[in-house]
Amino acid sequence: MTLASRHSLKFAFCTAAIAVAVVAMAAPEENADREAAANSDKADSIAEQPPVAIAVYPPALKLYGASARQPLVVQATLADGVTRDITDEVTIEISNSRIAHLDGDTLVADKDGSTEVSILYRRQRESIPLVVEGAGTARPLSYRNDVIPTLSKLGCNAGACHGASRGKDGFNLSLLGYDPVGDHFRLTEQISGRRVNLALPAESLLLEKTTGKVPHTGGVSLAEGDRHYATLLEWISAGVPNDSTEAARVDKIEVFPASAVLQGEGERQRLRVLATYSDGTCRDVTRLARFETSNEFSATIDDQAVITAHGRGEAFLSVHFDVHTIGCHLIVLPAELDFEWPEVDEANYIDTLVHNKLRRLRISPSAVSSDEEFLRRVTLDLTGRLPTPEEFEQFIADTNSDKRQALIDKLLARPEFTDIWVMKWADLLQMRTGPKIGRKSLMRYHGWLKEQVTAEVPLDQMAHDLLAANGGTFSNAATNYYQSETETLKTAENAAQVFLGMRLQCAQCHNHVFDRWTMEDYYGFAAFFAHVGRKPGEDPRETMIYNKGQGETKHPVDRRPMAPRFLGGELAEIEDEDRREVLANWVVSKNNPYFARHMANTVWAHFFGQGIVDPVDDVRISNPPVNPQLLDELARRLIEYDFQLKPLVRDICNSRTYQLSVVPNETNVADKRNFSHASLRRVPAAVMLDVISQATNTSDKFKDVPPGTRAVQIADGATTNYFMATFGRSARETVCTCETRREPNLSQALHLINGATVQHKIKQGRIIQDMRQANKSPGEIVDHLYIRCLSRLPSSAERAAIEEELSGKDRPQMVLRDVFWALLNSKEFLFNH
Amino acid sequence: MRRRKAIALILLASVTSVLVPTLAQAYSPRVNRILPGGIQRGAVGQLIFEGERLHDAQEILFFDPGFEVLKIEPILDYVMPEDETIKGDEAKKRKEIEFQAVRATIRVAEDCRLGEHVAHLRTAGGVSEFRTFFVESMPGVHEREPNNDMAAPQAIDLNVVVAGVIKNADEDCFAVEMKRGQRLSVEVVAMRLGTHMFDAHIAVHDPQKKEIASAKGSPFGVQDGIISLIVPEEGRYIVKVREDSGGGTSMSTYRLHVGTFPRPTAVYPAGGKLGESVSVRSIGDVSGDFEQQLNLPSKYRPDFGVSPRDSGGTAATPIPFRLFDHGNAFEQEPNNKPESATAVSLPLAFNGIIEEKGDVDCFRFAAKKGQKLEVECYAKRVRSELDPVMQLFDSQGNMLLENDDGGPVTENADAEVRGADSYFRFEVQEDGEYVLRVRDLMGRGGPTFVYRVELSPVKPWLLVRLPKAEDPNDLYGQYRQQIFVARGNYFACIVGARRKDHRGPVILEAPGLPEGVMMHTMTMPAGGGRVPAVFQAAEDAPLSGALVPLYGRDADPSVPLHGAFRNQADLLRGRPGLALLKIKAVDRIPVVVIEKLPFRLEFEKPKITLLRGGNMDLKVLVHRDPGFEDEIVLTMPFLPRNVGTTANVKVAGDQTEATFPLSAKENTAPLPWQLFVLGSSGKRDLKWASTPPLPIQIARRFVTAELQEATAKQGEQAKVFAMLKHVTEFQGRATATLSGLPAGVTAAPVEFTAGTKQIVFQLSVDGTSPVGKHASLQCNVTVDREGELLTAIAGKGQLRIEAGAPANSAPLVAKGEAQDDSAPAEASETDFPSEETEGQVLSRLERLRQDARRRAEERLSKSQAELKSP
Repeated sequence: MTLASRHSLKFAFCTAAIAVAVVAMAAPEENADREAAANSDKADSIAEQPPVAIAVYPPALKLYGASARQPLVVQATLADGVTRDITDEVTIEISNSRIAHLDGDTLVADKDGSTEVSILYRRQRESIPLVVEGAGTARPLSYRNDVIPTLSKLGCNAGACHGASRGKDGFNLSLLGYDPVGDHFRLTEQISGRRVNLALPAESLLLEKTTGKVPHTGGVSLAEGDRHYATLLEWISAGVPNDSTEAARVDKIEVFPASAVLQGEGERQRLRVLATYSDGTCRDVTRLARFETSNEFSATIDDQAVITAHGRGEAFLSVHFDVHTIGCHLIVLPAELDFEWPEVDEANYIDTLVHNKLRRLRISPSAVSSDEEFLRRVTLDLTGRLPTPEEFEQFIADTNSDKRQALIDKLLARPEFTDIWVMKWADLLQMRTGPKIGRKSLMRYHGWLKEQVTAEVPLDQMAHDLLAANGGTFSNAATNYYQSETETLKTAENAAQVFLGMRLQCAQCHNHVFDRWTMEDYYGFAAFFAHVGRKPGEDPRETMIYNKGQGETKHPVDRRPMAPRFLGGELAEIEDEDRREVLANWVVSKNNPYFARHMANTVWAHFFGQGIVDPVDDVRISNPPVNPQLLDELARRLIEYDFQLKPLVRDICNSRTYQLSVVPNETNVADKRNFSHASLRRVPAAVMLDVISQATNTSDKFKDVPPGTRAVQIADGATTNYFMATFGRSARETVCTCETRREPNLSQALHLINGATVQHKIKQGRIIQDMRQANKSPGEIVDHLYIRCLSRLPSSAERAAIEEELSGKDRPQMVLRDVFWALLNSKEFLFNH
Repeated sequence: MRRRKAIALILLASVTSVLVPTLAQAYSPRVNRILPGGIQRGAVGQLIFEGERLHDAQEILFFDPGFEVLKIEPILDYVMPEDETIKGDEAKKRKEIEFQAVRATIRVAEDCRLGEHVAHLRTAGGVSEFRTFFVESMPGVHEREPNNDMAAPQAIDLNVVVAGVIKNADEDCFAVEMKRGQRLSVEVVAMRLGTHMFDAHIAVHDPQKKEIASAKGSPFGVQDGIISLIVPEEGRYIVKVREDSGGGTSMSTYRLHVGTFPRPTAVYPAGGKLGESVSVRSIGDVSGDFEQQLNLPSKYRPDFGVSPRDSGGTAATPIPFRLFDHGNAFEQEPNNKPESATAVSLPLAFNGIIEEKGDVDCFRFAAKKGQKLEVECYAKRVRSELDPVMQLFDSQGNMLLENDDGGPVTENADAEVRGADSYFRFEVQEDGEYVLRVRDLMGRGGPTFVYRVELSPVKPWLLVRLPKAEDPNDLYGQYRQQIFVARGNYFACIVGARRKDHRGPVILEAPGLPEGVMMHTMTMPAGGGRVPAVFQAAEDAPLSGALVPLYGRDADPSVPLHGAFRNQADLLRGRPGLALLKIKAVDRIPVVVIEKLPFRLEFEKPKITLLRGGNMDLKVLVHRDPGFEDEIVLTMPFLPRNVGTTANVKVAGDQTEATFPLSAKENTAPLPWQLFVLGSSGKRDLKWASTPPLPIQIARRFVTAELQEATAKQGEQAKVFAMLKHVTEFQGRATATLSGLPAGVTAAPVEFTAGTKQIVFQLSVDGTSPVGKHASLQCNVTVDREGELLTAIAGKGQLRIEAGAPANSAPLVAKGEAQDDSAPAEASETDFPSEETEGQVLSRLERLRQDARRRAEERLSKSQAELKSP
């Protein structure tokens, strides 16, 4: 199909009624075509490669209703993984031309029946079945399925416009149409005769405002004669019928193609969005869908659903229609790319899956870290401690090829490993004293958690026991989970965030704008927590958490009591059981698509400083995993390991990916998200204080804990400590992982430079004095300090500089103390690298 | 310095070989705690009472029999341990207190009841609050530091009670030698001592030092843990005690029972009929259940309990056991469904065990229309693990009643609290069969989930109590929950009552008062809730004390009234909200006679009538001993509703009288009443005395007056008319005065006699009197009744002052006038002043009214004229 023939066909089939609209639509396409022509040389060079696969979308063609239209998209995949939109280059044939005909790349239904559509490209032919139903009757215009989506597409009910909670300029619509019944009232009845004019539909304020005939704060969003204009006009002309309760609902939407690898700036790919309704029909809703790109630098999408590639990188396109959101993953590569994949070792499945992605991105992983780097990194990550000088000597001297593996196993067996994970879960479970949790309860709660982690209780069991907890906050300390937050809705939000990594908060007031969650989902999920009963225990400091067997959450729009519904799933079948027990079983079920993935991702993020979904507790369609295959596999393994933490940690630490150097190479210098090199991670606040104390051979005394307790072991998030507050320790006031802050700030730097902690501890620990008294030479002391702090020996340049400082000084102690201070203030010390 | 001085005094006291020297006499003793918190029965032991002003201790008042006090002696070098939990100002204040202690040597009878006991300490100057201690079956030993290290524990014999203290981060280790298969039971009593917030943690380590059991609380002992196990091998076992989270203070004392005794945690049934012999099964011991025969007393005892006993010894603490008027019925499994409910007949107690997870017990019984039943479940209160939920169904299966937690026995903060136990009242609407269902709130169950449901007819009930001390910060205090009356003096308190199902008049009884003491009180009116109780001790009353069962009986002897005195001590409070962690309640009040006080109080020539709306000044005479010049603070705490007086009157050292101005609102109930004035002197060593009771009568007024609104011009004269209504007859002349007049306005009093309908006050208004409306006018009427001048407000009104002519006319001398039947009011026919009243200035509204009336009259007359005209 040539460009010319495409245009002529398009014009030939135009009816007078939609001519203007099509011209309007065609304009950007013409521009695009011109650009495409300019790039034709490049396209030709790419086109020279024969495709290894051709995909025709949608994969099954079904047309419902008279003149139903379905545009096609054809995507070719080349041998190197690059994809091309070849829709314009293929020939489309319909076997039985009475059933349907072609309008450009669009199939138009003519008559009921089934036939086949063939796509010819070069010498390849793809055939797909086509079914036409209901061609005799025009699909009636639906308020719910046409008018509301039109308003959403035009942005009328967006948050910045009339969808704001109080509306705009006196007119209020529900955000993106979550309340169609209410919107109908507001459009047609709230101020009778104002917004729609049934006698003179074209003079309805709704149309006059949007077309700019009447001044509109929101500007002109519609042209007269536009398809959307036609929809609204038709609806008003028909007497503003309301089918919001009986109309078919959108069951799902699909986007085609779901991913693309575009090579070369300006490369294009069109998208098609297909909606499937509860009555079994489907239709192309591309023109009603809304699109967003996560990375405008790499890819943009226009109103006609055509993607344009720009700079090198990845982008995720979110597609919104009705209450549904899905996405399309894009990789953009430069046109000229000289890349050869280095054949590097793969320690385990993690490397394979990370490398798969890197290959597609044309990125090589960095080299493996040195033994010194690895020792320090893995010790800090697994135990929150620095390697001792003895451990350092031993590891460096070890010549076994599997010494890294052995070290990981040794560290995993240390009690400090437990402390790190207790702290991590304690942050997420908001373990802090407060109005509802007294000190005794908290100590029990923390003790319970520590017992769980120490006994290697599987994560699913732990999550189950927390969610389904009943009993006294002393006698069954897991019940304190229900004391950290006592409000039903917030409890539900927290549970979703902690155990499933989802933030449902938006859906409390309106359907989630960036995710699939609707208010139905939200209140259905919250209903699981509506039966939580609380009463004082015999000891008044204790609270009894029990299933009171009654209580409902109500949908705020129509005050309907909501039955418990699993997130993204079915209504729960509950008779006499405790709703939370049912929920807990679902959450930790191996079939639950979220729990294992979220847990695996949380564990992953601990070792890489960022999740595969990042932030880890913001799992949503518009924030997809950077490597879904990796996340799926980690989750699968976690399930296979019966949700045991250690085997997964062992896999991660043994992977080459974890052991990579922080030093990037030419190809991965810009990569921050695909784990092609290790990232610099500031040591978390509590660990930092502990390692400063360890390096200086001192200890800290915190409030209300026995002496010798390390910062990571503090049970109460409300325990205040200036150092840790400055360095962003989580106060555990919310379930958000964002409470633990790792970004540097001036106070931190000043505190380390001038503050009491470092200076005081160097003096207090007496390391230098003791070594001097043991007749160690300044050189030996310097080496010792380097190993203590940085797990390495000084470089020759560093050694020379220190020697120069030392020479001629009567009191080398001052210089040594300065060296110690400098080491503790160095970035190398403060970061895990 | 202070302490040294005190010790010197004590030394002086002991030299003179008189235990209570007059010089060292101290009033208002306080006891903080009884150490070491336990004493063995069947032996002679010692208890130390620690507190303030105790060195003149004379007697210990025990609530139970079985104690013989052999000796009480002051401990002269007693050092109070520092309570590290008290900080800031409170710690400072505490440092200023001189703490004292006395040691009592006591022989405890062989048959003394085991478990918690209470005692007051009586001194020459008062009686302390009550504190608790335990009577134990095993001998006590003291902890010896250092014993923190498991490698060097303190060796103890089996079957002893260790008295110890866990200081900050302290750990106490005790070693016992055990044989294989022997039972090792450990029970700690820490929070139950009621002296300090101390969450104890106990653990048992085997000979290899490995922890084999630990407890940080138990359903039986709440915060106090229990361990009972059969030791797997012979050797040295270590019992370790610490604070639950590694804390502890010098006040964290405990009693650790270590031995081979059985430790069942429930008995079944958990109650029986008074005077009967019942067989009870002890459940939950590690060696298995066992039966025991119990002879129940014939009279109700609140602290009755079972002490399970076998060859290994007697359980460390008893299990509470209910004494009830009716017999027992027992559940018969299967009874999980109403159809299979255990059939029983009333009245009785249903007994059962929720034996396994998900178990429910159903009882079927017949009830008759009109029956009113109290359905009271006992589970937590007999230390069961069960958190009961009761449901009542009719024969069709409709649920009539349901309850989880029964709440307090009355709607009263310090009433007995049911806690998790269920309760409801069942008022039977029709004859038929009903099913009572019992289950655990959380669906749990187990062999020790024992309960009993007592069904009994509703009884009228009255709880007698003394209101808590006024100081809201004195949360722990029982201060003023004791009666100490000085020889030849009076002491008064208010006795409060909480009623249930009773309204009639109540007479307070206090049998068994100490020799020479009598109580003056008044009948509590129907529905009333408070009466005064004034205790009087004769000059020669011996210094002694008694625990008195203060109670109320219906004025009609045929009406039965249940209930007794109740004083609840809030022994421990914790966060959140200072919730009560440990309480102890008693049913008797200590009444003691103390040494003479240096002052007495008396009403001067008391008046006996207070009119509604009236006021009177009550003068109190203070008789001081020569040389006694301390300030005395007087209060009048018992006043009728709507009667007010000053909060307190301070009588300086050189003063001997004080006045309480009383004023009654017009709506005060006309009732007979008794007043008293209570005086106290001193700081912490308060001396208390009261006046004898003063009966007074709140009476209706003689007349009421309706004051007409008056208007006056500055610098002119005006009149205020008052219409009188006679309520109570009086003889002779009465005097009415007008008060509350604006500045510069005067009105002379008006005299009138019985039958006068209207009086007029002549006002003279100064030229500078403030213009405006003055709503403060008040007409007071004083009647001289047999020499007693009775004054009351008769009515209120208002006066408007308008700007007048330049004030050069001197105000006239005001002269009031009365208008009675004999001398009819001037120009008054309608009992209301007419608008034509001479000199009266009309308000604007009134002028408008008159204009309207005039116009209407004009119209009328005009139209009449027109009609008449041909």
